[in-house]
Amino acid sequence: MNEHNNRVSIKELSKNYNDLKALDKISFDIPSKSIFALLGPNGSGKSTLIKVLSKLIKEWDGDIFYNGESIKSNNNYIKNFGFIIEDPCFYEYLSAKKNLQIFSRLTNTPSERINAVLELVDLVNRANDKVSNFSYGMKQRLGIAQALLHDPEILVLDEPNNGLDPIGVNKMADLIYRLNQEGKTICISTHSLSEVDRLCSDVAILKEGKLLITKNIKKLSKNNKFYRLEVFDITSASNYIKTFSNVKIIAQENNILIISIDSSEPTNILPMKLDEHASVKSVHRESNLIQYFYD
Amino acid sequence: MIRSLIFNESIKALHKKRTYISFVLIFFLVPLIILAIGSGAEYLENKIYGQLKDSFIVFGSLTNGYLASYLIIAILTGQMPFLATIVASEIVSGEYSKGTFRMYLSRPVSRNMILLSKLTIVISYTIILMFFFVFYTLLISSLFLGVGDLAVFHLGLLFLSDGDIIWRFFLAFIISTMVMITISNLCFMLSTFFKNSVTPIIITISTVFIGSAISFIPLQIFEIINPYLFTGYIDLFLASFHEPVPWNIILNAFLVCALWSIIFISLSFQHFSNKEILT
Repeated sequence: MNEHNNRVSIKELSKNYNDLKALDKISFDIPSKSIFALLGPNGSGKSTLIKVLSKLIKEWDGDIFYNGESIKSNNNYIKNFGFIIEDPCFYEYLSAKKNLQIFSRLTNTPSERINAVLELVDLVNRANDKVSNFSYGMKQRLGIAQALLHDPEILVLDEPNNGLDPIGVNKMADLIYRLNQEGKTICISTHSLSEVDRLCSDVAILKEGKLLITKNIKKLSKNNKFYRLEVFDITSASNYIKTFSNVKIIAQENNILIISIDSSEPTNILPMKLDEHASVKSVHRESNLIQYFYD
Repeated sequence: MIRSLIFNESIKALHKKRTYISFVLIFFLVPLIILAIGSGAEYLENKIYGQLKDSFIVFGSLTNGYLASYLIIAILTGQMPFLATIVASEIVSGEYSKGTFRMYLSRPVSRNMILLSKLTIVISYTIILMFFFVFYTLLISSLFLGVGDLAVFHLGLLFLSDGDIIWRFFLAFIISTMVMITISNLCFMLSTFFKNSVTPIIITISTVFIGSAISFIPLQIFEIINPYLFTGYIDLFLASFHEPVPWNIILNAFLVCALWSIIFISLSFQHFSNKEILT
């Protein structure tokens, strides 16, 4: 993936809340026109990352680049982003249309666009109803409408399926897929593996503020086999593994190595061989890598 | 952009019920007090001017619309901080607590501009409320009780003639509004600090209460600091009905209120522009 194709590049991003490290030197890229999943359990730092990106959080270390430009001293990039951050919260005493009018004035969006986005999220018939009368699912859809109002390139959705019933989840998935097909880059924060499997092209897995892995899901799962190795000497083991062009170290921690072997190429390495050369304590085949990291 | 932001804030304010509470209260309360003054005019005159009747012969009634307005404004201005801060207390804190800032602030608009638009609404609301309070009172009093000379106590009994009164009410409106804007600015600043609308009101009213106590308690230390406190000028509007009008004291009050307002507004902007929106 070259630099041009990465709309958003996150470099060494850290954020502390007093003694708590909410994000710990996170680095990854969000490719253009992808459906990118930020996967992780509650408290993993997903929302913090989105709040940094949306400038709701002001102080953080590291940098984020949008189209190659740092966002630190630049607010212009936000016009290319649409956000839903945590629950969609509106001015409940106003109608859906009036809410969107308020947001449209912040980006000088023409008023005709309001009807277009309401139609897109199937709320055009409820446009003049007060938001206080809306169900949670309708508010989520209105949240998408407000995020799309200024026709951003990148849509960042924080837990878009929270509180939705199965029909609502399906409708949301259809909508996200459709928007992606129209050329939008979509970043979804979620703790749902099934959502990632179903929708996303790329994933970054966060846990306790740390990035465990970031990969293209299709590339990950197509030809690769994954192994979890417990080794005695991680340095000699990793040095040995690096001599193979079709074997990649995906992650390493203490005396654990996660490796992927590209099975499309003829391989001269087998886990048993590894055992001989890298002092392996144990070898386990991992059938679902995302599941492994998520757990 | 600032016009759009002010328009947004106007829409939000105009659609909230709490914006109208103060106006509704004044709308109903003032005629009730005027009716009470009208029906108890003789008793009221005996209470206010009773001893003077031993020295003067008074023809007709001293109770008229101007006297009723003067009394109502004098009595209720002390309570106006409660009403004037209703919008200010909630205008920023309400958006924190309801989570709407998560959407509103993640747009390509500077936070300072957003806060400026909110401040404009707070100041406008305070001016409109005080204007409504003073001139609605004057209008209803004049309609119910008629007009005439206004007798006030200042260095003895001072009679202000019919034609010499309206501008004094206008001056009273300007002075009381100036102090009320300072109080609103304090509440506005507190609204940027807290995530609920009750705490800013409680702290603001407590500040006014303590400041008023400092004005009234005759201690030397309080007399030294009182001129530098905006709370010492809450009843300064009464000076509009003095002869001569003490312009130097009014100018001093303007400077003190302006200084406090600058402090409150600066702290609001400094805090809000760096505030992390975590909820």
